Amino acid sequence: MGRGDVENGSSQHRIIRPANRLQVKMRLSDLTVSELMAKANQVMAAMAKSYPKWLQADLEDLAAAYRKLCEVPQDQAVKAELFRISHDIKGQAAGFGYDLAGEVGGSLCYCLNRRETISEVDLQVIEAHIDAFTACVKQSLKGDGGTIGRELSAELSALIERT
Amino acid sequence: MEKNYAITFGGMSVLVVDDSRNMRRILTQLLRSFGFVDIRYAGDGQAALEELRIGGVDIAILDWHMKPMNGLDFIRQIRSEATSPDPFLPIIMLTGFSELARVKLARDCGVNEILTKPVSPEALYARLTSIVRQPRPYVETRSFFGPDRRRREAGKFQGPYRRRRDGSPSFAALEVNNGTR
Repeated sequence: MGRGDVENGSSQHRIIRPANRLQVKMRLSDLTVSELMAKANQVMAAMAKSYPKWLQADLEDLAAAYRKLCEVPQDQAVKAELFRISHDIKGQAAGFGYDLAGEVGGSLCYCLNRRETISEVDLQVIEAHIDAFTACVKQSLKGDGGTIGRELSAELSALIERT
Repeated sequence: MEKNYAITFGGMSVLVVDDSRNMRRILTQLLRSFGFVDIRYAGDGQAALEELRIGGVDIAILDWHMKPMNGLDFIRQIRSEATSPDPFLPIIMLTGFSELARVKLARDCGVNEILTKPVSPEALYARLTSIVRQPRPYVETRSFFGPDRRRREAGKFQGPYRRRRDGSPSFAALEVNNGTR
């Protein structure tokens, strides 16, 4: 793309206004914005039906990584893999109504980041998070998970505080 | 009342840069519902650079946490390297990191828009339309190249003490009064 219009803002900076190549490619839809959003939300709702399976697959990967970490707690690559999976769950679950699983994901990210090396106690904390994910999947705990979910959250928070 | 028709993105190509299979699924479905047909994929920043060198990509939607090249390093390569395939590429960063410090860091690297996960159709559509309809100018200084980090025009201030470092005596007094010094 060409540099477009260039203004000399001052001796210290230049302002460049590149030609808007996307404006040329843009078209108006037959749908209004509200209609398009309704359609996109239907797409999300359809994916939400599949999300428990995706979460189950993430959970299996998480459990496999955890077993590896138990064998070699100092393995930074396995720790990074645990972080990646829990970070993905944190970023996806709430979008499909599994807010509690998203929170557990965020909590596990925090626990994995707070210490460089993993101790025996840290392994227990990670296992407690995997148990919480399992409960979310098996009991379809949506939103905050109701009474069970709130108890799980409180137990995890107390465990993290103690350790 | 006049109807607010949506934009359709059928003529544009989008590159989704994310190492999560689920995230790629989600974005694919949403982008298709917005009319995108040409959707390409890369699993990290390095693969994205290679895809861009093939050409024809209009917009990139990018995760932060990827290996071996993460989202921030990708943006730095795009904005500042002499070998960049497209320094003006519109980039939307879609990330699970929502801390203010990280948002500022991404902005200072030259991202156009930031969107925190979980993604909603409304938020993604808003960022895409902002890039198409209200593209910000780019600013080049000795230490930065990227979209103007100011969202609003600050007005044409004519006085001599435009910045804090310009050292206005009255500004310094004001800071003392406010307890910021």
